[in-house]
Amino acid sequence: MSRAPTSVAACAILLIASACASTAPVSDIQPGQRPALESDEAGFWMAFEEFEDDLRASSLVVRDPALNRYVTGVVCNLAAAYCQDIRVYLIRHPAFNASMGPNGTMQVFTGLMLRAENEAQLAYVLGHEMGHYIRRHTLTRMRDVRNKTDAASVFGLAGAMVGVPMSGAISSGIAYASISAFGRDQEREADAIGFQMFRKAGYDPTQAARIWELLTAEAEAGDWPSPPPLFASHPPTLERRETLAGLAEEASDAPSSAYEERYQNTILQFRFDWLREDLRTRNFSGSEHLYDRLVEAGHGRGETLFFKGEIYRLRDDEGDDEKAVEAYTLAIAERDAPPEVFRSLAFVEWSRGRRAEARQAFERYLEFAPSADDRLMIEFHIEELS
Amino acid sequence: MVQSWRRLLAVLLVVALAGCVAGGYTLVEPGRTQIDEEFSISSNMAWSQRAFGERHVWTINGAGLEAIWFYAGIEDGDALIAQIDEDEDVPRFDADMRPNEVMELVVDSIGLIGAVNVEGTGLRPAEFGSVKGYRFELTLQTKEGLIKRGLAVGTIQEDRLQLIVYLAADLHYYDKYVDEVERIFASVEMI
Repeated sequence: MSRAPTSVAACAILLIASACASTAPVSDIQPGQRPALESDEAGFWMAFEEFEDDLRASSLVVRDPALNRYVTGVVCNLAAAYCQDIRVYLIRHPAFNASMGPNGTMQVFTGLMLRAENEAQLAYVLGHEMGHYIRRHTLTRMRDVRNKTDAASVFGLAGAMVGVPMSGAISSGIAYASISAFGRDQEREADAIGFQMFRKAGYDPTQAARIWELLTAEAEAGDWPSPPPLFASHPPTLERRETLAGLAEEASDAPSSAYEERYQNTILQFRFDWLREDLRTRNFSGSEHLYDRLVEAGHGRGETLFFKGEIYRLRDDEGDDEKAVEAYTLAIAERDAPPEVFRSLAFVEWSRGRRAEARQAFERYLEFAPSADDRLMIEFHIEELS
Repeated sequence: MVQSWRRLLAVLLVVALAGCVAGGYTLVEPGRTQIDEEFSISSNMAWSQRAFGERHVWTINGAGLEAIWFYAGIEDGDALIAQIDEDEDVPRFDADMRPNEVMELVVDSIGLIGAVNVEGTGLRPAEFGSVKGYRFELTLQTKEGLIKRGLAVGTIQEDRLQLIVYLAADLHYYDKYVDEVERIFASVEMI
């Protein structure tokens, strides 16, 4: 509750600032530049700085130093001059999303990192977000909203900016991202700037179009009618893919790399948690599509196949038991299957009436995880099945 | 109507995790209290109570600090939380659920209303009143960073879920009331 007075103050400043804001085109922000204190832009920054204070303390932020260093390193590799101006926050959230505040607050959702196949795909998205920052799109967007709507709307936007909880939203990051709904022309600009930085840094130019192909396919396969947040105001996907593919063709002569191994090795230890968070969204068809793709790519096959089995165990539609057993069996054949695969297999076998197989799977679970915290429950089940 | 009280419950849960709960509470005196027509429990302390259909929350200092959630007679297909976003499904109780799936139901439901790093651990057999049940521990963080701990006991009888969940701030409040919560768990009598 202590946030309320400062948030209100920020909103008031924003409203006052909005009364004297200009609609003139804005120039690119320069490295190290901060807005003049009396400007409307300073008001926007102030509101975002309050949001950033909350974000800094939030348990949604992934604190792992190595992972943070890695993602910040990608940002600095893309634009060394702006390296000191951008602060990366890794947000523990299963959506494919990234966003950029006007003051250099960059949010990168773990759902994006789970889906990217390589560093180049991550770098392309980060470059795109930096394009918004360099072109000062949030300032333009806020001025545009102010000029088109009444003060109450601007106040509402400011509230969203500083992280006022929205009902049903999993994180304040969603609220924050929702006001960053840039116009299509701004997205095209950010694409162009992002691609330029991405290319200059030596990334494989074909990966920019590739990440959009992957997302389109997953969105089409998913259960939910709404597009992923990053799609919301973006140019039509086909247009974007064609534009990026054209740019890639023009840039195809220079040496480049996607850095797939480096990327996959970096995220390896986090994949299990990220997959579990994705599964909790209960977008089963979308997850099924994603996990199939990850299995095909060959990274962490055992754990991904385990989670594919979990989709069917949780969904429990006609024929899902058989699909779950198939996925678990494939997972067990891999070296990196988690012990939990045997426990899940046991429950599915039990529900199919295969008590001996269920008991055997429970025993194997305890064999692989002798210190399991649910050991007493599993022993109880083994007794029930005897 | 069903939708509206579910929405209210979800809002309360979100607010409770955030740290403050609005009015509408009534006093529960020490002694035995009946939770709907499902079970009764006994407490040595006075609690503030609020009911939402088959869900009841008891607290002393505010549900954001410590709360006992009673889920009495949850039926097949019901959720523990409301579905606010029509694009997002919520976990639902299935009468065929095994104990691990009930724990997943609780963990996933809490995760969907704003808590992060939610973990259910230590699942083991336990009595729920005079019938066989199970219990487990919970840990989570609010998105503002407050660490919470919890305990849950439950059972499925005649296809209905009976569940009691205690959640409290790890700092000070969990330990302050955990003994009383254990007494409440041990006092369950099925109706």
